[in-house]
Amino acid sequence: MPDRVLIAHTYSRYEPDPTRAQLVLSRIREGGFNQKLKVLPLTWFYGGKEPADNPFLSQAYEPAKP
Amino acid sequence: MSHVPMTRPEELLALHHTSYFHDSSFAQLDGNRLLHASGDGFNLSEDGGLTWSAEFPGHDTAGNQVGSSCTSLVRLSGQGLGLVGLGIDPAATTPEEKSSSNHLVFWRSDDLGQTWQPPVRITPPGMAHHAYQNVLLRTASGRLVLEIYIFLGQPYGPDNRTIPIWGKLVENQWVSTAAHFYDPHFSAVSVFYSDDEGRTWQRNRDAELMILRDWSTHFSYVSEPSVAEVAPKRLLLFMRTGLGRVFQAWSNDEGETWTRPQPRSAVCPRAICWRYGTRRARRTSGAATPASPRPSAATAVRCGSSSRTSSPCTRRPGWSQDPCVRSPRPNSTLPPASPPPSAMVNTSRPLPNTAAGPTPRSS
Repeated sequence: MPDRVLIAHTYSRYEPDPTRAQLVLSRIREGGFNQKLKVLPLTWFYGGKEPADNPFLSQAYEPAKP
Repeated sequence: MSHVPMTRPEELLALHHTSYFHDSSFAQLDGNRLLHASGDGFNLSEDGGLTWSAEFPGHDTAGNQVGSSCTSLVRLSGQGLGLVGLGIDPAATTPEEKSSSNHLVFWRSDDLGQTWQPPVRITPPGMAHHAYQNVLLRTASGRLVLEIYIFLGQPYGPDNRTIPIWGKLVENQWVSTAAHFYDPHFSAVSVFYSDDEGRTWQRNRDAELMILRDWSTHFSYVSEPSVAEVAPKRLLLFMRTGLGRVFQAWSNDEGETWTRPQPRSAVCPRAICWRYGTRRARRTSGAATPASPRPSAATAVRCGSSSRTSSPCTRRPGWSQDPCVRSPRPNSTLPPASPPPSAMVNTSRPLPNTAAGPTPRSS
């Protein structure tokens, strides 16, 4: 599976309670959730293009050259 | 949640809304088969994560439940599979005793999760131990590396009030933020490793990693460590702090000793979790670090090693083009209308293969 990345991240939000003047976590309502699992193609991390080497990144943390 | 819109959401292959919160870990079994573990439940995907089975339990050969929180899955040699979770001393009776008995354990399977051996204790008794999710690393040499954290101190906050005490105003109402509230504890990180595929474990030789704010012994909490192998025997450890930056430490002996934690140059509010993937990814960026903005805790996995082949992923027609739309099109193959909340398969939202993508929405 070299072509994709799976990312699971927490996701919660507060929503107004329908009857009480308070905010409630969206997780507790029916069908609520607290995590998103995203399946992304590897190309997503490269601007939608095929991955290619970026020569700058290998130099980015080298000492500055006067 | 984040108010930052996801970049190019139309490229998503699938989006699943689940209830696993902070506790997902993944392992590639073979080909497109993935195993997901969270707590004491498992899900199986046969298509590289596009769809998932209903949740099923695991039991070891002694008949006991396999898995708990602080979940980390890892592939071992051959058909081996390892799983880390949190154990509690069964003799503990009070909440305080149970909390202080928290320790990490390791389950081993030699047949890709069909059967499991009884757990082996990783961390010693006497202090509560925790781990972030999906952080168990198997290095190029075969060593297993598990980074953990401890915390000490009274569990309540200012004015002797019970947490949550950390939060923010939302529409003029004070709400606690999810995750860790505030951490009113002293905490420190250490690393355990195994050279026999999880049968026995040792701790790093140079004691706990702590965040010294200065040399007058002012400390900051540090927790949720996550490690990556940058080169053979060279490991990079990221740690969550309350100082506005993730801290990092290096090991040049595969986790046996570590540098003192130092702040990373990049600003990152809290926690981070990573997995690195292809050789290309490591060459170009040091390590692929897909992560989500806080307060989300991110877990990412890259399956495979060095080669890229044609995509086995088939985008499915007939589904909503918008990952934020909750109802699929009427003529699509639908999951059950009222899914069990913990079954990932039922909240899957694969996307169609359309040239015109949806308008980006907030994730």
